[in-house]
Amino acid sequence: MKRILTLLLAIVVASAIAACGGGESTTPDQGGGGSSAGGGDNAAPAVQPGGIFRMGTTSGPDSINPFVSYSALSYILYTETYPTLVQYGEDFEIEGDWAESWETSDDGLVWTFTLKQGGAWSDGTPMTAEDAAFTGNLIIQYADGPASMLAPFLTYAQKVEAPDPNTVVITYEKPVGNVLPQLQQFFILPKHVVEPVVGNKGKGLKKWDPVAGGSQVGGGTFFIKQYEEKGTTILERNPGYYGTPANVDAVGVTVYQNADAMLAALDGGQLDAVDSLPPTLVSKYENDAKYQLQIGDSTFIYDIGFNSNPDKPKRKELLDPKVREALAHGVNREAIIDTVLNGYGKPAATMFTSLSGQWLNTDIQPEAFDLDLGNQILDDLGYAKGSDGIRSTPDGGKMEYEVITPDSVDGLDRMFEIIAADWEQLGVKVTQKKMDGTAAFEAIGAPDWKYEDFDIMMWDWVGYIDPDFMLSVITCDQWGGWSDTGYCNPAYDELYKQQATTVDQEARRAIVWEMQQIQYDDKPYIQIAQTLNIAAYTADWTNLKDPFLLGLSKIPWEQIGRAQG
Amino acid sequence: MRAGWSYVGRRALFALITILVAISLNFVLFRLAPGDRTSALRCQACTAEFKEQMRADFGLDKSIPEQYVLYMRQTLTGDLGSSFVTQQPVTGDLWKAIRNTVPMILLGTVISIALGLITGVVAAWRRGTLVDRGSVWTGLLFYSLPTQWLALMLILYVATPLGLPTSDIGDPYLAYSNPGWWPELVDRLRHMILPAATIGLVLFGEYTLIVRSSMLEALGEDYIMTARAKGLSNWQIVTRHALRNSLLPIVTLIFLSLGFIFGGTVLIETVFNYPGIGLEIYQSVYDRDYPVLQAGFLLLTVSVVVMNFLADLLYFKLDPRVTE
Repeated sequence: MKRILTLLLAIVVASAIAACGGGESTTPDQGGGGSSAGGGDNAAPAVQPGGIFRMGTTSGPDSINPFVSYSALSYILYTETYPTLVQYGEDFEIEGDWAESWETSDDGLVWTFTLKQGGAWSDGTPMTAEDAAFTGNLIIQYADGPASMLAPFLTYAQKVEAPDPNTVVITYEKPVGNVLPQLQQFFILPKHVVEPVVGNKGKGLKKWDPVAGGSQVGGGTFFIKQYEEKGTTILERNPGYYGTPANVDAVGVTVYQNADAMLAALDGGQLDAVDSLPPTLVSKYENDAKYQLQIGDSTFIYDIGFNSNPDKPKRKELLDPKVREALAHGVNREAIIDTVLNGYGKPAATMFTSLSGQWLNTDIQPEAFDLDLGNQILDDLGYAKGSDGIRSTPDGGKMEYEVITPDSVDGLDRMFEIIAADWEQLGVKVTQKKMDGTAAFEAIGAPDWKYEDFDIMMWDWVGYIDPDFMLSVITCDQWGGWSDTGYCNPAYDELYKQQATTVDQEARRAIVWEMQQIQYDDKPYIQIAQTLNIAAYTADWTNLKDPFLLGLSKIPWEQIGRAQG
Repeated sequence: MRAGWSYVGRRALFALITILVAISLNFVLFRLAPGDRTSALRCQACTAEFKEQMRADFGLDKSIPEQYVLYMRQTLTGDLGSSFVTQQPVTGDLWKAIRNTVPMILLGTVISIALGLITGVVAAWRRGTLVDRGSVWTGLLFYSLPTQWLALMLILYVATPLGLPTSDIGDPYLAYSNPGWWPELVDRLRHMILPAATIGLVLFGEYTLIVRSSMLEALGEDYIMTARAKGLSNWQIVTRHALRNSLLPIVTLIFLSLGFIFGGTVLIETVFNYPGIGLEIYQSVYDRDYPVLQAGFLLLTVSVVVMNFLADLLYFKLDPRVTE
């Protein structure tokens, strides 16, 4: 037995040594940007140069191939490692990123961008406008094929040209109302790396491994030195970055499967920050001088969705906006925010949050929690309560429904309990049908994306600053795509097309507000609450400003570092 | 001896057939699941023509029997396809995961054997006393605890006080300080401690019971009485005579449980975010990454079958009665 134990121990040690051998010892580039808080922001506290910022998250990247990925963290990685022509600044105003300046033709069809000079990819190859033209035309060419996930960022674009190394010209088929917000996610890829992998009809793009050569060839503030989908991804400073270099040498992002393990790592000094702290733990960390919390708005909204397919065969009473209105009066947003979000949320009335600025229709207010009013509406509609307290429909059915919830969204279980108890007082009985995310989405579209089976679901949406995407998810075109309600209203779709091509931003705002009103009236969704994002980081780090880690804008890494002294 | 080789041959044939059936079941199961390889390409806006081309590329335009022959040929030559999510070959990802899992499992097994031996021997030696009952019940208690719950308790109450890491297989930033192989090895072992301790704590009860019962049997033998009569110390009686003769069932149990632990690592690796085969399978279920799942299940099957086969071989080697 002793020999077996010794043998097993020997194998453990040998395997561990073998595993150690996989990691190449490297030292990040110490040159460039290693000064105290730069960036021209004199108000920012001074920071120590260099260092590694280690972050934990429970929502990791799904891939670092932009032609495949869809997770939020993947897009945050692209924002930090690939150049874009423009970006959102700290106050969510569009500002130049790689582009120094831009101008538009009188008819709004041609956009000319002048690039900052001197940028280089992380492998030393100079960055030129040809990279932007190549990437743009690749996306346009394969928009209904392998590049379909990136195509929305170049909607209506006909071609991208590079008349000289520092000029990019994008020509549109028709004037577009949100060119710059869309270009904020037009990630420019290195032509010399991507061109050889395109393959026949672009099929190679879906199989592209950006770190196949050892590390990613990036052109942003950083490049990806090491990618581990379920482990730690390390970004190192790109020595050829065209902007103000990052102060830190590297940034690491470690993915955790549960918040407990992540917070134990934060407490144990293995992390400097976590991107999302459970609201119930805020009091523990806010009273500890070792940590700082950063609490700010997010674009995350919980919602209740109704099957809005006008041809759904059963339980058609739920198609009536008045029924939905009655149910909306049975949603106690205040109790939900207090109980589920521990106070770290705000009532929501539309798909937009305050982060959307002018696009949020502030005339629309959430329905008041009023069970008497809800009961009155249902009584007036003729849905009488039976002896068991549950209402009946004219066709003899009971108002009893299943509510699909995905298991991947925190807080939905408790939220459902609160809503179900209140709806029962309205005479409507609901039971929860909890499924994993993929199965839940398939159940909503069933059968075969005809939206015939489901009645009600609870989920969430995470939007952007520009309203285009969130407006699109309930268009008829999104059946089988992003639609999770089966809503289809040709008048709404017409407005959607109009807003996309309305260049006058005030006119576009009016259309966007009108669309929110239609959505509020028809109620494919009852919006419940917007969450606040709670990030925690150790007190020795400074200048991590709101909305750090939200992924909505570029992070000012030139200012971030450990506080001096 | 001929009977012995015939025994080995039969067991080998049985193992081979089991593996072939598992491979075929894999083919059927994952084709019954909703969606196919093209539906996971995140290609909702792709044209029907492009999707059809991709189907042809994956061989999905062929008949089911043709696909089966192609699948068997690919599997038997080690080509397990590419991940739906990463689009990279599954073999490379799985190999990396296995390399992470194996040392952790082995350390966990060492811990469980050590704990099981100590508690089993003590329980047998002090049979009928409070120590006996305490050892057995402690082993059974840990054996009955939900693995993921025990893992979370270790994270919440053990990790921080002892300064042990709760995630990953190593400090990802260690390479920046060029520490050399010894600190790297120590770091790897530190990352292994909590997941391996979970395995050790959950499984040691099994060994406690087996060691206790075979020790009791051995302690009742005449040669133990002889040893006592010769004036040997308790320590010598246990280690030289009783324990050695009790090891046969333990050796086979080790191999049998090693095969099953591979499957059991799903929960442990998920809680500790330990990038091994268990976490790979967990993530693949979530992503509907059928090629990775297919290969993962195949690996689990093969590991159980191979370990059972090895246990059979060991029995054959250690116990001459098998060949009689």
